[in-house]
Amino acid sequence: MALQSLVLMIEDEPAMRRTLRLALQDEGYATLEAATAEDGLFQASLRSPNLVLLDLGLPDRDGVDVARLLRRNHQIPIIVISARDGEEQQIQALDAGANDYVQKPFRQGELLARVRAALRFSRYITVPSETFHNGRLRIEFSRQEVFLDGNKVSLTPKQYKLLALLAREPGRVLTHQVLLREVWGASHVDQIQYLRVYMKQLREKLEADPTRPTMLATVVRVGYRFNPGD
Amino acid sequence: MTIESSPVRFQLRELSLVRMRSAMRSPLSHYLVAFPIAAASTAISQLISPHAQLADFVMVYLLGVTAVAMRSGLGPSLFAACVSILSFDFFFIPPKLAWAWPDSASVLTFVGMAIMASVISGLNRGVRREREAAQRNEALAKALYRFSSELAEVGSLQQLGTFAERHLGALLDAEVLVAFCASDGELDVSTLRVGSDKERGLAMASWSTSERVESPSLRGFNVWCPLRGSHRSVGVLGLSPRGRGALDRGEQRELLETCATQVAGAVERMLLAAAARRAELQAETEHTRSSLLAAVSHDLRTPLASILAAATTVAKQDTRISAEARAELMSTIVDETERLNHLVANLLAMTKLESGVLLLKRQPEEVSELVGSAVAALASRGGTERIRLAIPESIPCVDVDSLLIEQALINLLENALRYAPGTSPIDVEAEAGDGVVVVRVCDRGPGILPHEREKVFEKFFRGSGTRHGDGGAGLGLTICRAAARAHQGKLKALERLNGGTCMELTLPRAADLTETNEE
Repeated sequence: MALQSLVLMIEDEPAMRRTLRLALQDEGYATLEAATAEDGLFQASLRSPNLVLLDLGLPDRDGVDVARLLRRNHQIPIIVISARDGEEQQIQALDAGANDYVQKPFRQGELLARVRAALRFSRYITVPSETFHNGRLRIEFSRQEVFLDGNKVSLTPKQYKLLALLAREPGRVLTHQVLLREVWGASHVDQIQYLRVYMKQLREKLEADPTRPTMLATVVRVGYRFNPGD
Repeated sequence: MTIESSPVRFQLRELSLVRMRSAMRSPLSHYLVAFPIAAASTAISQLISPHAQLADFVMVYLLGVTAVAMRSGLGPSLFAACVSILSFDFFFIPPKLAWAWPDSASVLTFVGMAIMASVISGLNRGVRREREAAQRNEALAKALYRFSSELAEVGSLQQLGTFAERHLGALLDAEVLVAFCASDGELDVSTLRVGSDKERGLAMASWSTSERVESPSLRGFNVWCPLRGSHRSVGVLGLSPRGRGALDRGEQRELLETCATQVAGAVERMLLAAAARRAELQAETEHTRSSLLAAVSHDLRTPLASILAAATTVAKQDTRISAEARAELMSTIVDETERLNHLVANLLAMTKLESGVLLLKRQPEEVSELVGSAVAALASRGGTERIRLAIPESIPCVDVDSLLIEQALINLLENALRYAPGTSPIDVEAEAGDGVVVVRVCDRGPGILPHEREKVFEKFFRGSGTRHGDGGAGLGLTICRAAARAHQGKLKALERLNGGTCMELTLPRAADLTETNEE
């Protein structure tokens, strides 16, 4: 049997912890549990889990802070769990380095799909690659070139920058603010229209069906995610 | 200072003309008129001399002096009397055409003429003054009337401030500043554009004592007048007179008082209106909240009861229920939980709507993405394969709070799925209009009765065609419409051709992108 992936849950609600544990173990993951942020940070440094499930409503510390600390000290993918009305906090957590988020209440299938995806993509984070490659798309980061089905795609500098940002961290949700800041600069973080227009252009150049994108996915209200779809 | 041309401005010009006329002293021409008058009197007397006596000539000269006295002041009248007496003496008192020492009779004539002249001119001056005062008062009254009727049309406190400063400045011939009470009842001194703390202190003093405060030693805004409302001062009015002694005359002070009273009335009216609006809003919010609470606690309990019953049955240790029944109970739990979740999402939308438009987080959003995400949220409910999307790619972005509009779309789609029969399709289409994007959710359901087409948007209204216990709280469409209106949009229920309902949601278009070019 392959090495079990170790998932650390930082969640203060015992009922939720128990349910998560059962669901994760049923999927074949090994689990660690922490009820507080302090304990969670301690266990993360002690046991180096492969993934952290982080509840943002922790009693002892701001969840966004925890995400930032986890991200700074360990290159562990983080999935934040937040309430539906905790959107601000959720976006802050993504900006602080979390990869993805699940909103409470969620279905088991939804959460497990995110966990699987995050674990699959974590290798991209740990080993920064000079190229990205899936069935159709190849990105040469060093030469700033993009190929679709072997043909070179000509992209404007900003289009390329946007694509590269997303593709360097497949599966991770990049917020509007992060993308705008990186591509257009700090003074343009409110100009979401720019992003919409550029994403449309990118999809037209790269997606088989631009109206049903498979690689450049929209995360409503939050940002965009690159699905490598391997 | 420039004043916009307005009726008040016209009145003001009149007012200043009256002011000028009253200040005028008798000019030289009023004296000089004595000579032609005396000459005319002499000529007339010469004409009638064959038939007249000395006393008749006196009458003619007296008439001339009277004519002068009617038009001019005391000085010119007496002067005319002198000239007339001298002419009379010269031409008619023997020896004729020579100066003679007047006899006692002509001295009497002269004295009589002088008294006559001064009495008439004195009387006349009184009449003239009264007339001028009347004219001035009329012009003032007109100006005030214009001021107050224009004041009534001023809509906001800020506008009122600008209006009062401009028009009162012209009316009182001074620079005028006003400051009003803020909603907390304190004087908002921050809006006063005065240079010194001393001036600000005078303003505060006038406001807090409700008395006029003046400081002769100060240049600048040295007269402050409280704007007295019915209970307390609602603000202050400060003056920096332009002309020297412009405020010295009593009538100017009176004018100031009158204006202050009028402005105070307007301020009070606005403050009261604002307070009434706040109170009304609060009352409505309270009412909504309590009826919402009642409806919600019922609606929350219904699914909870099912969940608890199903879960406790499944959890029982020594149960003899079949695996099939167990699966059914489990699916009840899942379904009812979804229903609870939906209800809570609607409540969240409701709270957001009630907290005010300011909290909306508006961003340009793609219609197809909003609809797509609404459909995805309904996926677990089943039946979403019936939803057919026909949203052209050219549809511009809408400027909305995506959470709210997504919830509105979820509700519209949910309704359509719930009320349209079996496998009938639900069509979602979008169309760009003038400054708006129109999204339609159309079903082939039983339709809404014409007289219920507006009622369906009322809180807790359940259409006559709806069944009880189908999970609706009668809030869904209310939230949809409130969400549309919070975005200055619309939501209408329309009859669909060949049966069914079209829900038409109109949303504002997002501003076009200004910079898409690469540098």
